[in-house]
Amino acid sequence: MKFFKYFIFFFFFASCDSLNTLSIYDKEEKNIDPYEAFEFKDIFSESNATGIWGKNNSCKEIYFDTTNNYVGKDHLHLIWSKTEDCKWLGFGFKWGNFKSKNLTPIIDNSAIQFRIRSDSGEFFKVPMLFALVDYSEKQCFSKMSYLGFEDGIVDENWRKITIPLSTFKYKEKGVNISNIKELRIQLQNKGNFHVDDMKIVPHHHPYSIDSDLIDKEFHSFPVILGNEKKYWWGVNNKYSDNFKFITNSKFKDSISDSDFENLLPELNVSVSLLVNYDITNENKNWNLFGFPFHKWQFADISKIYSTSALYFKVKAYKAPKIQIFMSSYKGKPRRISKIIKENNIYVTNDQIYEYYIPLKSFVNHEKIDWSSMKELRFKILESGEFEIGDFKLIEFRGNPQNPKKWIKS
Amino acid sequence: MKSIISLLFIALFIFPASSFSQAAKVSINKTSNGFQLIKNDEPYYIKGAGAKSNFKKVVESGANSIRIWSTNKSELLDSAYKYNLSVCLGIWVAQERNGFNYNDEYNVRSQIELIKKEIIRLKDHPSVILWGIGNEVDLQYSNFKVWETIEEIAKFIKKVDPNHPTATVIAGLDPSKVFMIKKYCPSIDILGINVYGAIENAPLNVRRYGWDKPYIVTEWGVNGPFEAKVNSWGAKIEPTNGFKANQRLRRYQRIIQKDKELCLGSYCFLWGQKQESTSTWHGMYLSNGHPTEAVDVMQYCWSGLWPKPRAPSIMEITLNGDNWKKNHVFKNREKVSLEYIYNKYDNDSLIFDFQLYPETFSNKGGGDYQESPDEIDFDIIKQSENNIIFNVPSKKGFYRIFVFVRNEINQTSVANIPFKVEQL
Repeated sequence: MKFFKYFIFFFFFASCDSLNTLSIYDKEEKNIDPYEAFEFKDIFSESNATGIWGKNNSCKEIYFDTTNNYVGKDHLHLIWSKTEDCKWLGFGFKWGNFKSKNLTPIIDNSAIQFRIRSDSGEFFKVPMLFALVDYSEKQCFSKMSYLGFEDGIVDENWRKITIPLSTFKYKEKGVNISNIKELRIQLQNKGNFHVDDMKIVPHHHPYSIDSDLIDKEFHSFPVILGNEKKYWWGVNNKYSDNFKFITNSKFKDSISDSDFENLLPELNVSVSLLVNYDITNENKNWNLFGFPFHKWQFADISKIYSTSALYFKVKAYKAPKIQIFMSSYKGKPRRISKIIKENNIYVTNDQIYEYYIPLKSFVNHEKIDWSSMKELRFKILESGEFEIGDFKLIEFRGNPQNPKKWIKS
Repeated sequence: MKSIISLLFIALFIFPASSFSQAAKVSINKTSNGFQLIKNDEPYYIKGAGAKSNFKKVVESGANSIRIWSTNKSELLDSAYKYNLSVCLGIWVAQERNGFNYNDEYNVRSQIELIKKEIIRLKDHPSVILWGIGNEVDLQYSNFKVWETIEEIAKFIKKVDPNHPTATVIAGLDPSKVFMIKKYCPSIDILGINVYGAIENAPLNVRRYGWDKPYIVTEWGVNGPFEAKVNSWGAKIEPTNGFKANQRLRRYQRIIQKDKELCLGSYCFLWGQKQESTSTWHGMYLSNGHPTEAVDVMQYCWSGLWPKPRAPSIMEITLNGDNWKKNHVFKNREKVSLEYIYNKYDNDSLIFDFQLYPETFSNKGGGDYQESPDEIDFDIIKQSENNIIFNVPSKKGFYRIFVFVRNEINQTSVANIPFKVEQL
């Protein structure tokens, strides 16, 4: 009996071990080449094997031509000229007799390939649009890209064309790539071409699809703004002296000119600007300057905007009247603005005015896309002489409409 | 000898311009006063039109250049050459807003290689004066990699075609675009600016934003539909032809011509016809081929002379005495008076035509294709010199009524006004 128990115990272990080692199903799946497993490789070789649909009309003539075929007993001869009478010009292949085709396993390593020739002339592009159509009639498109012209040209000789399946934008168009019904060709403008031997082939190319540019995302305070002169605009002393960059800023220690040009980006300070504006002067239109949130790339301040205030300093006898604009790369509206009010300004000693403008105090602040911010611009609304600088976003948790109260507290 | 002359004569007709003429040598000269385009050793100020047809009239009006947007219809180069017009030859670069992905290396490379072929094919055509690389690729874009494509094309042109400067054409001025082009496209010689309402500040903004090379106003004209006032139901208010004519004239004389330092010339938009919110907004021709008074204005801008005769000019259009500022709402089949004030100029007799269309409400931008609506039949009850009485349609909806006035040689002025029909 004892021996029997050991036998059973040993049997179970041995069995499990054997099953694990065999793993028959996994192993078999690994050996299958998705391309080889794909049943519907032939799209068109001759009329007997695979047909097409799409009646001829005054704008197009498609027929099976039996002369000078690439393969089989005939090929397709397509002649078309799009006019206003024919809003859609095209035809479809009865690919696999309209059976459902799952392209998912082969989408990244296969292509549609065919031969094409003209009766005369040389072509670097052919006005045909290829559409994969799923069973809910959703379509995604691709075309004969120049990289797919094997010989770099279409002429009177049979030339090979390759269209990678990955170039069909099925995700964007919501096409179910695992349930494809057919392949259609949409004919555009005009053309006269012969097509033969269309099939699915293995295909690899060295080109990749890069991911989207990474935005600069801001999470913490302060965010220093306008600290690189090369990104500024509105300051052009060839045409106007209304705005001048200054190196001996009243806000910072003196910086030599060469240091200013070369080292400023590395210094953690904002550029300072001397404003000498006369609204009656002929240069009165030189009243705007600006700089990006982040090097003219997308700046994402969506995480901090609701607790942010724009801060800058002005050195003047009288606080100047300024309008501030903020703009984004995306969304609607793309620009919001605000004229600075008295309760945005805090006077310190020595005629230094500190400006606090909570971002939530801008009209339509809730509508602008804070994840794609582009720039800040400043419009000087009245005559005056002052220095402005030290721009940054700071943390602000007070009443957006009354920042002064928060500052005092 | 006679037979040789005959053969040469025949050859002139058989072979296209490019097969026996040399490419124009074009360069940019920087002087103390600014920039100058030099064509075959002579200063060349561009008096141009964005045009695909009516080239004869372009020349007769005093212009010297046309702009086309792509190399697809390269036969236009031969037509231009026939009329001694130079061509700003556009190279169509795919736009992100129409689905092109500049992160997709396969499509990016494919586009560039194809464009290189086109450049090689057309670079020696004698009518080419400069390359316009891309048209408004920056409109509603978010992938700045497009500038790498623009630069690669411009750099290729510099390598294979030393005879023609490079330009890239942007949709309006913006400091970020100027920065991107300066930074990423050093092979671009000229900034092409398509600018409508914002032309008022274009010379100032070019300088404000720090563009320090020359520019060409590659599209300009009247304010676009995207800048127009809208009424309570969103119908865009199109100014009358008379208003537009004055606006064009002022913009040419006081803005474009005035900037001698950086501006190398301009191409007015559009020497032809297209549907853009309405069928008459930007087109200087009507769909039936008749020229509008905008053509006369451009003749005056380019040559300093008004044509004789001159098109009449509609200055104002009203419904029941009120202009577009009122939202015109009528009951179905209501009798309404359409009034129009116009200058007759030197025309003895004028022909009037009235057309009614449904409102289109297109929100497409960037000159993308828009379908033209079908005309609607309607009853004119009474017509006099300055007004008609008509029945508005019985079906409720949004409409726009047009008045066309033309002289005996079909020079035309047009105006329209939107209205709404409600059920009784």
